[in-house]
Amino acid sequence: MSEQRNGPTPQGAEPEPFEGHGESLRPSQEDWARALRERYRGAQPAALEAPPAELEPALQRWRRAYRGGAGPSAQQTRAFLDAARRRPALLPALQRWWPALAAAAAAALLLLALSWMLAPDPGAERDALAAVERSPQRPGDASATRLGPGTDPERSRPAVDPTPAAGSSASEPQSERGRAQGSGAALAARDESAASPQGPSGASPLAAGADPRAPAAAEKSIRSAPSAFGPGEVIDRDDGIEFRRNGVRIVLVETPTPTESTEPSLR
Amino acid sequence: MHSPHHRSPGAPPPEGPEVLARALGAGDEAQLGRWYALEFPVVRRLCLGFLADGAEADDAAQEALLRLRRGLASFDPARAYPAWRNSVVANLCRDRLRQAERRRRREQGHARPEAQPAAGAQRLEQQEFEADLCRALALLSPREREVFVLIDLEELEAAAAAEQLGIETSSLRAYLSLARAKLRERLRAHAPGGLTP
Repeated sequence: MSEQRNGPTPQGAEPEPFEGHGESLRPSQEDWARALRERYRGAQPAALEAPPAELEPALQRWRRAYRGGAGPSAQQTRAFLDAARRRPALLPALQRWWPALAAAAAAALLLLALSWMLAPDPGAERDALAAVERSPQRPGDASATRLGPGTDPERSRPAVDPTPAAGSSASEPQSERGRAQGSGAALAARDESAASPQGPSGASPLAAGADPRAPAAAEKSIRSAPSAFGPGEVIDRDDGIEFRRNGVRIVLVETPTPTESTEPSLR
Repeated sequence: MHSPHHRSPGAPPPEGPEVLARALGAGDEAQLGRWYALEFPVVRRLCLGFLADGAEADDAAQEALLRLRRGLASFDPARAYPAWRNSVVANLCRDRLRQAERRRRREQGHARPEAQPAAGAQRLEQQEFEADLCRALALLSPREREVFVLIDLEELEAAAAAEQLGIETSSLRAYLSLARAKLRERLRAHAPGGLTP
């Protein structure tokens, strides 16, 4: 750089104006920068340049075209007024109803959570039934007839559907109680509290006259329930098997059904 | 501008678009039609300038006016109404330009049908003027167009235009300079025998 540009500035000397690139900068860079700052601080924003004269005729024409637009047509006005007066349907409805919607959603979630928490564990129920099926059977006990050889206890667990199972098996062993005459074996599981003395018509021996208040006479043995059943008991009866748990009695009885099916079914 | 508080009896109502807009914002729906009639030409010409397309400008003006109408409820009264309006229109036109660009890329090769000329000699002449203006504006980039429209056609101050467009004044100067240079080139190219001073 030249000495001229970097050289010292005489004390009190006014920095010369910046002329732009290509011009020599006589004051030192520091002074020059200060002068530039002062100039910018005090400067008013310069007015915009006027359009070039050669552009003026075209500009006049364009301004005329630009500003000469007519007002809205009747059709445009009608369309606008219709649209402007028509409120967006969804938004105000949401604004009005969102507290109710939020409350309903929260209630639904709560119910869902509660039902999930209170629902019985299907795995435990299945395990318990499988354990009952595996429990020691007496010769000639009805439960031996119930499942038949090779029956998967997982599959033969009592279903909620009261419809008797379809199909029959001719090779099914006959029980000594003479139920083989075209009659199928059916299981009736019921809650003691729900069972009426009469029960469903012809559904079970219990319903057909057995006294539900004196089941002890029919009991043959009482043994501990499988662990999956928790603090309950399993009682073998002449006519089936009984579970007792927490004051609830579940009786699985074999009963002849009018159907031709010999498959065990649950009612 | 006359104040609505000093209205002389029998004189035409002095409400300009700004007063009507504030009334609308306060819930006076009766002013809607008058506000629309006053604002449509202004908004439409802004759209025409920003979009450089007459048919698009008609649609955009309707959309912009609806947007303005809905925005009036939350419009800050401390703010200058024309500046707010111009900003809303500029933003809407930018959106439309972006959408049009995407559409154009998708439908490349399909020519846009020309707008049907309306009946009436005067209207036809105006359409020709507008078409000439649109051809000139189409040479500019969207930003150059916005600056040129607000400075050279709307004749706003630089600071006001820069504020409405959300850019620095220095950028505005640069865009304006570029826009004028391009238009000058166009005039030179189209003028028989060159540009006459």
